[in-house]
Amino acid sequence: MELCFIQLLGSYDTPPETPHNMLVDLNVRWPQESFSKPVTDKDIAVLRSTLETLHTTGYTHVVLNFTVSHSEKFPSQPNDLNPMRIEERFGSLMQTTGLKIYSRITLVIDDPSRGQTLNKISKVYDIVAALPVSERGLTLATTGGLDIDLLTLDYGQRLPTFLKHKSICGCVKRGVKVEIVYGYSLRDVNQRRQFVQNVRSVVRASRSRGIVVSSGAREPLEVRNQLGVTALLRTLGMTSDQCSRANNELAALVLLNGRLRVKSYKQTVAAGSGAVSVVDDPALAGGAAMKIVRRRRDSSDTEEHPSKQAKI
Amino acid sequence: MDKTQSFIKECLFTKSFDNPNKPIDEDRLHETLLLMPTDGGQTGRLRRARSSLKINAENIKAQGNEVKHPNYRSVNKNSKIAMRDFIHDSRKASMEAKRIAADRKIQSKAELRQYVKDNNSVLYERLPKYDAFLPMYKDFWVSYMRDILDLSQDTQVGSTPKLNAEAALMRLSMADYNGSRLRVTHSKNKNMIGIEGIVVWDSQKTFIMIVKGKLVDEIKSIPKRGTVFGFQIPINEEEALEYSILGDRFKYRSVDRASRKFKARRCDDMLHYVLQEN
Repeated sequence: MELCFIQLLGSYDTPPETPHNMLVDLNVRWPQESFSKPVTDKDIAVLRSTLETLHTTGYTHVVLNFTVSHSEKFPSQPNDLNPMRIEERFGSLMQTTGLKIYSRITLVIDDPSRGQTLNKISKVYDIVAALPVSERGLTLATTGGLDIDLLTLDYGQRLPTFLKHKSICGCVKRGVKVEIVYGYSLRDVNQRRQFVQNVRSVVRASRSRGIVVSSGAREPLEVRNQLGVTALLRTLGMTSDQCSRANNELAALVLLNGRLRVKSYKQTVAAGSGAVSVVDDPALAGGAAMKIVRRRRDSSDTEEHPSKQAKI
Repeated sequence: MDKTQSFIKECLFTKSFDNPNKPIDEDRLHETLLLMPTDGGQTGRLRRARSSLKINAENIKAQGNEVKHPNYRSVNKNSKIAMRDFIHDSRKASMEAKRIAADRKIQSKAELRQYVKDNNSVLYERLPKYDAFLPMYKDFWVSYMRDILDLSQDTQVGSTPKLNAEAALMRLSMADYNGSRLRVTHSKNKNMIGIEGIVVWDSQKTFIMIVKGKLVDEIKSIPKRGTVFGFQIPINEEEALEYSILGDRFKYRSVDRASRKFKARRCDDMLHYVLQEN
């Protein structure tokens, strides 16, 4: 009996290794206000230290978030659409730490009539999110007028309208998750008050379904580990298993949904063999939707001379 | 006032106006109004008949759809039964051959084949043979795929083929996978990972494959649900394009798939695919 007890204690010391350890932060701010303002080296240095902090706190997948206005004109050159150049800037960081970095664009939707099509822009980013700041913007984002993966709100401000269960849950039902950004609760008192109020209404409207949590970090100090996030959300009315799903499984689904939009045709046939999922496959990073590998041969191929031309 | 007008007044206006004289009094009626006898709808009918005889794209299509096999139902049913019998029979044959191998302590495939051929020719006929299906993949399917993707010429080793990646994916989603060589690369059921074979039949919910074994070849039916199938399309001697079928979204018969409009759906059921063991 005593032995058994000791063994139990022992197993508590080292947390059980879950088969899939995946901790996702869907929102780390990309230090750029709009397409026209270039990013400085100092900003990149801060971002790099934020990423390192995230890695230390246990995150495995991090998404850089570039927030632009939906009505502002996107650059016409396809190369300028994604200014992040993740591989070039953070390639060594990704290699040494094993961190996986993705790109995300968040569109601030004010007046839906002045919006533009997302066809081009959704191809170069892994995730497309919407941030409605008006009632009509919210209607557009929730009714499926835009092809988005994630719905986020400005938690530092008063919400544009009262959130209805029907619209938010309808959105969740289609597979669009709702994001809570905890970074707002760490900045100043006013924003924190607003944050609490807004999160409460989001939790109420969505019946705590399909909620994902992300940091929205601008500097290393705004990063919290999973325990910290769980503690915060539990005080705001979510259960602890919902909290752990929020930055684990559901966030991974957002990544999958976003990735499959480019790497597959309507989620039927995807590029890559599938042994590693499209989210994790390093060969599919960036905009590539094609994977070239060495041919696999079985013994029968080598026995006879391979014939590839049709014989009919 | 002529004869026509009195007829109109008596037969029509009495029904639609309180005072049948009203339109006439107000001068709303033409003086030279003519009423013609009808032919009882004969002309309309003739015109319709004539237009249906005319040949245009719509007509041909409509007729093509109507033409059916005289005993389509029974043929369909019989083919299903035949397919099922084939699967069951080849499974039984594989089992029997395995038992023989265990009894006689036969280690190699060729030896077992020879033994069965000499001693039990009926069983030999029933055994599924991978090599018999191999041309289906090698000669037909590979060239069919290269045709679809416009890859009829070999690309240079190390260079990327001229291919619109998106259009290629779309064509692949509508392609026929009978005869393809698929490999289970990921599945909810861990035991299925690694199975590789040539698709004999692409049914709605399963791929029926012939799998090469150490001693005997087997027919296996792999469910599409919860499974990811990988396949390669060779572009030259050394390299190949790699794609995967997400079985959860592929649960349609190949006939239905060709004309289907796919839609991206909520992918909560594909959670198993992202959370893979590393």
